[in-house]
Amino acid sequence: MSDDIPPPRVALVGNPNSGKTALFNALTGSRHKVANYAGVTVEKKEGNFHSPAGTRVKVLDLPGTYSLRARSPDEAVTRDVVLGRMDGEDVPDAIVFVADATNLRLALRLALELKQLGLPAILALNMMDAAEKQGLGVDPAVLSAELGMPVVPTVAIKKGGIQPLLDQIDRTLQVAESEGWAVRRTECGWSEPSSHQLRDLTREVERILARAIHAPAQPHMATRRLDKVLLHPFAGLMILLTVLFLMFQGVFSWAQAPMELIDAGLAACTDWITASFPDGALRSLVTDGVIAGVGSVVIFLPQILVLFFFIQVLEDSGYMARAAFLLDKLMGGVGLHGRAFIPLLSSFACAVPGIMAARTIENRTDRIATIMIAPLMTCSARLPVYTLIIAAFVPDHDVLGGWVGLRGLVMFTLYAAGILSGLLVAFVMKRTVLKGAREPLLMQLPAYRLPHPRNVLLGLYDKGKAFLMRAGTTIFALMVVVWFLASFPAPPDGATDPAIRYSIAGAIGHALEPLLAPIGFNWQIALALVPGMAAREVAVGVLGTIYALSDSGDSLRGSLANVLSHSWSLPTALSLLAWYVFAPQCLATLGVVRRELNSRFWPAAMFVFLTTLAYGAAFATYRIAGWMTGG
Amino acid sequence: MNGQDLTVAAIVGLAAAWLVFKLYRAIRKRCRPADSGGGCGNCGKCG
Repeated sequence: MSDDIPPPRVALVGNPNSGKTALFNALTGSRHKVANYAGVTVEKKEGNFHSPAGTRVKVLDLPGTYSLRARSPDEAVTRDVVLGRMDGEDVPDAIVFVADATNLRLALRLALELKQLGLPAILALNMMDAAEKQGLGVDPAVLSAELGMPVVPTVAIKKGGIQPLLDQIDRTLQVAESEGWAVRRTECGWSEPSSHQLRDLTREVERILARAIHAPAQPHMATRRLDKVLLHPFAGLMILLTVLFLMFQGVFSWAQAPMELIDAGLAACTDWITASFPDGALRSLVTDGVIAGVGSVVIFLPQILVLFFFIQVLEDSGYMARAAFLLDKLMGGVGLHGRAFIPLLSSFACAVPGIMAARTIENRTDRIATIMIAPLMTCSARLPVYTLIIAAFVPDHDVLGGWVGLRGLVMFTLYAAGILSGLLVAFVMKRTVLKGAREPLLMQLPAYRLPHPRNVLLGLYDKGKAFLMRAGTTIFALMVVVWFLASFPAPPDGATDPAIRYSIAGAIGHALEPLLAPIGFNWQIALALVPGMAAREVAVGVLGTIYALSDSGDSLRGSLANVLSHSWSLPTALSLLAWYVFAPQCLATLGVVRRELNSRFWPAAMFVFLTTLAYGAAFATYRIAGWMTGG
Repeated sequence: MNGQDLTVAAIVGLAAAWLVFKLYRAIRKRCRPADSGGGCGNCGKCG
């Protein structure tokens, strides 16, 4: 194929959670996120691979859909790509229809709809290993004959069946080309089926299933038995709470040793540099700026990894979809759609993908309500801030008979505060500015699976890499600039206060201080909040640098938490925690709200209401804590 | 200005330039909104 002809385009289409992204990763060598619940992919992804015949093929990973009658923005993407309605894009040259072999009833409905389009198609019969475990006998030859398309069994997550699929893609593209498909179709004819046609479709699916599938006399019971307990209205909720509680205990206890190791490494670095380099600006930049600043953030890597380990295992096992089901009643009570759970859950990692995941919600007012409360879910960037303050002010005691660590309990409470306030805000919004009828939750519960170790490890590797990359680039650059602003100009002759008091940063901090003094923030905190808008954890780095420059330099070698425990009052620390539960301190979040809702109003409204909430909560916390501690 | 000060000035200048560049790129982002199909998923600008 000559270079000036665009490569053939193959679209991966299928129901949600059928393994399209796993197949995309296996074909292209990418590492996009895969998980065991519906709605992980909400936008089109593109990649390339070379077929066995040497053809470069462009592959599109599309959001899952149950039908071409798209109801939500993510499903509309799939419909528009397949029908060639996307701006500037032709109809794909071929479709690989990805079907979950354990759930062919839903898959075949969509397969028959796609067949009517007349596009060259291949059926990738995915998760064949799970089907075999369940004793399901699926006959690919019969399916192929009935559907009129080649069928290739695959296990995408383990890269099983990829070579036969590649061979089949080659054959399909060659046939398509020989039949004149090289001349691209610009649009595919399709009209929404009538109810009569839908009934015919259902009958046809049942007929094919009867011929192609042999279900065991005794159906696979493990998932059903587990669900009896895990979806129980009371026991299920208790188990969910216990799982989340253990997660936060684990974040503190498991991460302790590696954090101490990193801390010791940073202290050794500081000692070595102090001993090896002459006193001066360069040494101060490295120790007070880079090590104290970036190091204060990097030290939280183990906690981030522990948190994501839990999330990844819960996602891969299929438990997350159950959690959504369990909380549907609670979420419905405040007016949220059940599908809001996955976007809100994703927001615990970062609000940006969480807000994008809200595309799976069909109703616009439900979608806006979900997006508006997504930043109230505690993202991983808040973890360093919470941990730092908890380590500084909460004693490392066990409570409740030695079973529960007090620090983990406080962390759990902060996460709970974010969730509860999010639900409260949704409750108010859905009864005022975002009124609308509540729609029922229809969701497919995936089968339980043992998490795939490779998937978990790759997920952790990607999270750790992203965290360190951010620390090594944006946070590093910010810390260098903060160090400069905190070090210059030099103090005047005869100055008695620490040098930072006379610096540009000192002037900015002191200018902001009156605004934040009513909530107990000193000028150092006020200053840390400004670059903290770029990323919340930057505030920790800035505090590290400011306090390193304010002191003789020895304090950071102890720990920043130790310095803060002597510099701040308890009401100030609690007030900052309350601030961070609510504050919209993330420009990326506001930017993605603007893009997703195509509106300047909603991000502005989000900033105003969250800042007001943060200030109010911090004010109340500071005053009440001050009154209780006699301050 | 000695060598140490020059090195510091260069590092601070590069860091500031990097941040300005990042800010410029963030402002210049031109991804299509979700309702018209979202981004391609390749550049990462969509989040």
